[in-house]
Amino acid sequence: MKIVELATALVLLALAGLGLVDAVGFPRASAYLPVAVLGLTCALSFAWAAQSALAIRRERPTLRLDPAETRRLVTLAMLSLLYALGMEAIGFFTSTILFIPLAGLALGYRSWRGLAIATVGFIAVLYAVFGLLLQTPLPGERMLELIGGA
Amino acid sequence: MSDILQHIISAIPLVLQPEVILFMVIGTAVGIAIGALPGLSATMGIAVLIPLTFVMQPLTALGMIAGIYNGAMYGGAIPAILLRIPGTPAGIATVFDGYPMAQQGRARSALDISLASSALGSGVSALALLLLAPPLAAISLSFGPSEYFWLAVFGLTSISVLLSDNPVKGLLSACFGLWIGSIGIDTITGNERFTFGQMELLDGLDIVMLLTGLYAIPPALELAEKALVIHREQLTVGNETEKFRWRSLIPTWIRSSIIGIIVGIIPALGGNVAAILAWNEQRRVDRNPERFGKGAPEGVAAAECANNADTAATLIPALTLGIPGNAVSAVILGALLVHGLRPGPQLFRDNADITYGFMLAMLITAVLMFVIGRLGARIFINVLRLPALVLAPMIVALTVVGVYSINNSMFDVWLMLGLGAIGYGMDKMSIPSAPAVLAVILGPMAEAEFRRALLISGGDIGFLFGRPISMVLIALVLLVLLVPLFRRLFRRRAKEMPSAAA
Repeated sequence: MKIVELATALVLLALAGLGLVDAVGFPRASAYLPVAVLGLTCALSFAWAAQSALAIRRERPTLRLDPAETRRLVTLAMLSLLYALGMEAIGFFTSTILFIPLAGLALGYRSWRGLAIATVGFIAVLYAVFGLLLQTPLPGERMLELIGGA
Repeated sequence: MSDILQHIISAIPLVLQPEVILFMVIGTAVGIAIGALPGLSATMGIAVLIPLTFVMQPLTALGMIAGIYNGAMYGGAIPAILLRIPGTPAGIATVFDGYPMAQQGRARSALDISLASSALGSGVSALALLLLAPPLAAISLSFGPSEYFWLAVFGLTSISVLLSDNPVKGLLSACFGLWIGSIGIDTITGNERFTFGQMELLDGLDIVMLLTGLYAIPPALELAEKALVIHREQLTVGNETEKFRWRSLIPTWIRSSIIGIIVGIIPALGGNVAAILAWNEQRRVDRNPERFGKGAPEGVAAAECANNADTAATLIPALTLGIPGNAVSAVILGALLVHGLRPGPQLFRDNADITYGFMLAMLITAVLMFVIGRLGARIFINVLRLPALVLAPMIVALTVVGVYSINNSMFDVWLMLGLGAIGYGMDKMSIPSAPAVLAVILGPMAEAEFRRALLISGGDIGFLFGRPISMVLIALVLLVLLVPLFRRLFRRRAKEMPSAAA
């Protein structure tokens, strides 16, 4: 993990440096806080990078990842991004109906009955809260629009 | 004192409205369920539900939040007792005696003791909040710009340095929050700061995105990652209740409540520290300390009473000074902001009804927790069987729709998901996220007070150091910055002691 920390600290140092250059150009009164904060971030990132580098030199750590855990993490992260994209493209409820069982299956849950109950129950709760109670306008359902259009 | 009583009396009818009570009941039940699920916490529960509270009256929303907070603290005891897995970090000391009790077939007694002790601790803590917060707020109303500035600096420094083993990481988290807080149009000069040409960022970054991103997405990802499976046979409680002299627990409750309240007021400690200290103290004063860790009911009572006595007490500095002591109170401050209530002493003056109503809600939900916990015991135990692999995508979906519903904006959703990824990375690298949230709240306040001080003094920076309270606060900041050094010294001495003894 120290290797990741070192890399993160260096990226942070670079970003804070760029931000600092930007902040110095603000009018004086607007620049107090950003300059102070980004200057401090540069100093702290440098300290963090130094701490991590020293720890790596001392311990020679290796990055160990559990393949199953990593697979599940990446799966959920990717499916969540697709879900957000899908919500915009095909509508909120349609994408949720697809997302919950697909994500459950992809993560390794194998009870079809459980997945069906969870999906139907969850959609019902969401519809009751957002559709009926809060009456929030959510991204439109393309499938329903197509059926309506036909 | 009469003023406080007057405010409490006028807040009672507000907090007893049917709608507020209904949401307190829902919040408490949801809180117990969330706390019972390993990996989920009150912070996450409140963060996920904040977007839903947008359309509610402030007191209804705060009543629900009070219920979640209190309920989750007790809920954490259920897996701690039955599975040896604390549902929340504060449930860690409950494991010590709760799990051995369950192994001895006394799970029902352990659960009953933990419920009664939790309700009592929460109730006492809420009373402390009601009695201590208003006088403290009255004192801090006399603060000027320089005192407020140093107060914000003290709050940020203390939570950044004390909450993390490595102060560099804590302070980096605070810097991240301060930077986020500076995004948008500067209200004084009208200048754009870090908006990257995005219209959506002109008004700044909504704190709800930050809260949901940092506190709802990482637990969902970790649920999927760990994929904890709990089987029905692991959740056997039995129907028999042993005869138990509840009166014998009174000294334990008194002692643990006091410990919980004191720990709660001190920034950056939290329920887990309160519970461990109370459990240790109980073992120290007991005639047979060897019983502890082997199923002593007093051990369960001490831990649960203390971690619940910490809940409302953490809100004392949060509500009066705007300085939350831990992540959950930082999230509650965020929820207050969502409803247009700026934490700090003016809250008690400008929104007294809502503020006192919220404090009363903490007390009422302590009672509700006992009733709901008794009636729904079996349901809450079965909540543990919810499959983590389905629960994780549900949390993501609920968070996404909740954030979208605030401004009907996909930009907010992407921003929240981005912050979620950052929050997950912070968790993995042991960077505390509470300083970032606190910085978003305190940063703009510190900047405004700093500028005000300069305006009053005609640009003389010495004005910031002129008043006695400022000097006390500066001394406290310096003291907090020295804590890591003391910690290192103590550790070194602790390491040397066994070798010296040998």
